[in-house]
Amino acid sequence: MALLQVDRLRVEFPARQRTLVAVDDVSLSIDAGEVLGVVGESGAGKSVTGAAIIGLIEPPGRIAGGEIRFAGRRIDCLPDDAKRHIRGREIGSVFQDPLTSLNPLFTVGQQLVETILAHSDRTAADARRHALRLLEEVGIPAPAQRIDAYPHEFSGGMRQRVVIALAICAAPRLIIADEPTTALDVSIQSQIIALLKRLCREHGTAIMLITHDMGVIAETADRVAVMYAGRIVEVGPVRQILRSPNHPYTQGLMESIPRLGSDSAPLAQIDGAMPRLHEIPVGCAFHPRCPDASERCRETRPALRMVADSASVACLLFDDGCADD
Amino acid sequence: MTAPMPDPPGTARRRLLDSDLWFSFSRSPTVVVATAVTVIMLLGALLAPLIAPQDPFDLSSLSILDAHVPPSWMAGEDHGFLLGSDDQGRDVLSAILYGSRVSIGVGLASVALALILGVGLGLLAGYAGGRLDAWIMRTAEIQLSFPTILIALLLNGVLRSALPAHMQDQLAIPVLILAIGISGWVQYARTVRGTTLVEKNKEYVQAARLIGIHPLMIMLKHILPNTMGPVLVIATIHLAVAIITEATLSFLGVGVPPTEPSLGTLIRIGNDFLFSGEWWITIFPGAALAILVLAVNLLGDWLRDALNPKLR
Amino acid sequence: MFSTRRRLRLPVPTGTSCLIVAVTAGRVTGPRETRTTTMLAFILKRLAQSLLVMFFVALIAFLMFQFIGDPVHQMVGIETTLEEREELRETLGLNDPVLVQFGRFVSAATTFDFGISYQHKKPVADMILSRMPATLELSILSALFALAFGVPIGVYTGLHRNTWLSHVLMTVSLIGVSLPTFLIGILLIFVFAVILGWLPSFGRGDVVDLGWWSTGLLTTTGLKALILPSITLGLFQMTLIMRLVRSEMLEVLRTDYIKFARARGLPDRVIHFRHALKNALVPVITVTGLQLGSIIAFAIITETVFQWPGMGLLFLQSIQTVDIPIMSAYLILIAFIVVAINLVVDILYYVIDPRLRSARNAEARS
Repeated sequence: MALLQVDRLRVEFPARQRTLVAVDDVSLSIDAGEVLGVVGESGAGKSVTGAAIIGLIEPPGRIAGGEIRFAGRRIDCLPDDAKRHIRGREIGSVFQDPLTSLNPLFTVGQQLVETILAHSDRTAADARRHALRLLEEVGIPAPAQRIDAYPHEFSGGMRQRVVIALAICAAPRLIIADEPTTALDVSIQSQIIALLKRLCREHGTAIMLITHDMGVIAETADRVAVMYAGRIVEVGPVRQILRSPNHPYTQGLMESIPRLGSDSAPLAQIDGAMPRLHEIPVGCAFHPRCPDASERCRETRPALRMVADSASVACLLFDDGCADD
Repeated sequence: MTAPMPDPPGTARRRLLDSDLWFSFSRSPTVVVATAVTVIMLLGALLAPLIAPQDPFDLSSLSILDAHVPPSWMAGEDHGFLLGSDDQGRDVLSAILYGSRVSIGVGLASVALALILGVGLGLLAGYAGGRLDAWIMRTAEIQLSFPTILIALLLNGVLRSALPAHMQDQLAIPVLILAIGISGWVQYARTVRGTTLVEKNKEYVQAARLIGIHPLMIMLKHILPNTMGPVLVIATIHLAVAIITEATLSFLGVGVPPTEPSLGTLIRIGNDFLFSGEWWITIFPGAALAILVLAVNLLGDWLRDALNPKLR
Repeated sequence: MFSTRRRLRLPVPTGTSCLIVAVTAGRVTGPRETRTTTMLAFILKRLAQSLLVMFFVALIAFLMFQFIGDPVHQMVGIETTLEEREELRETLGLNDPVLVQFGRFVSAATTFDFGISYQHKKPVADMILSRMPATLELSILSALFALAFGVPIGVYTGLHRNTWLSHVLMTVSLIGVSLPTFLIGILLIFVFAVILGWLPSFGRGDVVDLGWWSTGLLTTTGLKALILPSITLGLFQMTLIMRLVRSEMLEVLRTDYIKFARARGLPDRVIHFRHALKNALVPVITVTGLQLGSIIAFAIITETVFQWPGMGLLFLQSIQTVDIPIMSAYLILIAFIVVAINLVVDILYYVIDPRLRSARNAEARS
């Protein structure tokens, strides 16, 4: 059984004239110890999906349909207090910008200790010892000296390590990492990715890695889900999708990644832009930009269906099982 | 990124109508009521000579026999004074209408003065920069460390005592406007300076400068329109503050001359009769003042939120 | 190497009235420029600015003497001869060069010597000093009242912005902002003194002398007399603080670190009262400190309404009688208090916000 099972999730934001659908009929699952990459342009609904899982959709946004199960238990309709016990304890979070994720007026030690105390019965002294161990584990040098420092006294990369330490305070079984490296320097990015991978390996923690960076996905993820305009267009093992993407959008994404050593044609790009939430077209959301769009794509919305051993794609080209192009 | 385009005249108005302004206006009953109240009070003040039951300054129409009459709707008495009469037999309603005329007049004039002064100095400071900027903003900062009311009080006192005695009553209102106006310019200057600093480095201003357009024209035709939104908000809220300041000074007896009573003066006069139970002489002008200021404040509050969606 | 994408942002209050904006706009951004300097340099710079302000205020106070009225004319009777006047003029030093007079004025002012009141023929310093306790007791009590109610109500309306109680409180606060101080005083007197007869409508009640300080805090009548004036003076500040705390809370609750605190599974209690409140209170401290100066100034109005024998009442009377020595002494004293409070607030800011305390700062890198 999967650790996290999301079924037909739908998230809506009521706006002035109409209701915007940020996440539309999204299903995905993560197994224990697995890294699922969720990739897509900004506004594709990746972060909202993550927020929905931990029950932190900003009002007036709301989950309008579907269900979320964690370790077999339904968590999307729990009371607030029960949701809080899942956050941090069962599911840890890492946010994009380590500069703004930490409260500037409290030392990192204070923020670690309060998180540990919120999820365990440790004494304050014990919590502090645990905080020191955590800082050491995420690779903060000389944690005993740094624990009483304020966030602004850390560099960006070190702050992200502190954020990760906060995420693993209560040894959660799943970490939702929303663009954990986007705000960091390139040289730091790989260190943070390596840290996440190590934690995943050593503790068997599953990770939902939300990013727009295919490179990070390639390096880290076991499986990848590609999102477009609030929907999942393709999902499958990362190698398979990187090697032979099925959905025209994924293909476009792959072709737009610069490759070293291949002096092939100029970098391809997908024409147009992802539609904004209030102008998502009927039918396949990608059809206005799709090179292979047919008349049917304008009317029929494709469902996600299995095309190879373990890869699924939502595209009418594959609708009748004849996936030969 | 979109290239900054020179703002053609009228853009500000269109932008206002296109924005969420109308939407949020029609959606908020409080604001509609506040607007209605403001308009009614403005009209009442403007048309006072036409609609007031009595001319409170025409001594021949006053009769001491009518003094201290309670409001006509109170039991027993009916002398035709809807809101009662004061110690000299003056109709309180008429006095309020005429008084709000003075209050609103002084308020608007003070706001206009502060606006012209502040916007001018702000534009100048932002556009010229350097030493001039430093001086203007330093002065603003010093002034800002003192409460507005104290500055107005002091300016008013000093200016007044600098005048020859026979002109003091005659010039009391201009002096008051000057004092309240000068005490309020800093807000405008800071805001306008900020916008100017941003706008002056944009390409259209640089281009205008290159083709030799006079700095004054650049400031007035190109930079000024960009500052109008925030200035409008400040001016609305400042109107409420200016009216309160005027009323306070008049209440303290250093504002408008008693021959042209404002709402503050009326409250001061009525205050003496509070203890003898003749509350209407002071409470009604007080209520009029509070309602006026509240309505203007509500408008200002709403305008600020509506023009600045980030704050919602 | 540090990489900072965004500038560290100090919470700048989104004021609810002209006054808040006026007060905070200058203060909160003020220290930002000097963040990279050390604490000492920062304090020295602020001190220099304070001295500059005091210099200007002294200049204005001095100019009032120069241009308004003739002190000799104010001090003597009609029957004084021209020679006697000239002699007085000479002994007062009014024939000396202006700069010399200004120097003498400043050096006298530093020893709190402001000369003799035109009207009362008594030393101004003594008159002000004897009235200071009344004003300070009133002002401090008002500030406490404003804080004690303004902060909790602000927090409540910030946390529960859509409950009916919040709407009621916000509406009431807007009415509070719109009611001029003197009107509040009149209404309170009308209700609690005239109609109900519970509290006195004027004066300080019985006072006890503790050395030169006369206090109304030790007698029942003194305490009763303080209630209405303190509420009158504090109500406006209370609404100001409340609206500021509310908007700060709303702002802080939207920040990433609050969202992250939620994602860490912290209880709402901890998030609201430990994280959000502390961050929201940083600008509130500044504003409250600065408001203390304006409370003392607003005391002029309250003291007039309640015939409270404080400095404000004295100042107002001096304006009406053009008693320049009292006017200038009051002005300099208020300036001194305001400047001193500003200085303390700036230093307090340093103590509270670790970002300012550190010399290595994000601002320099962005």
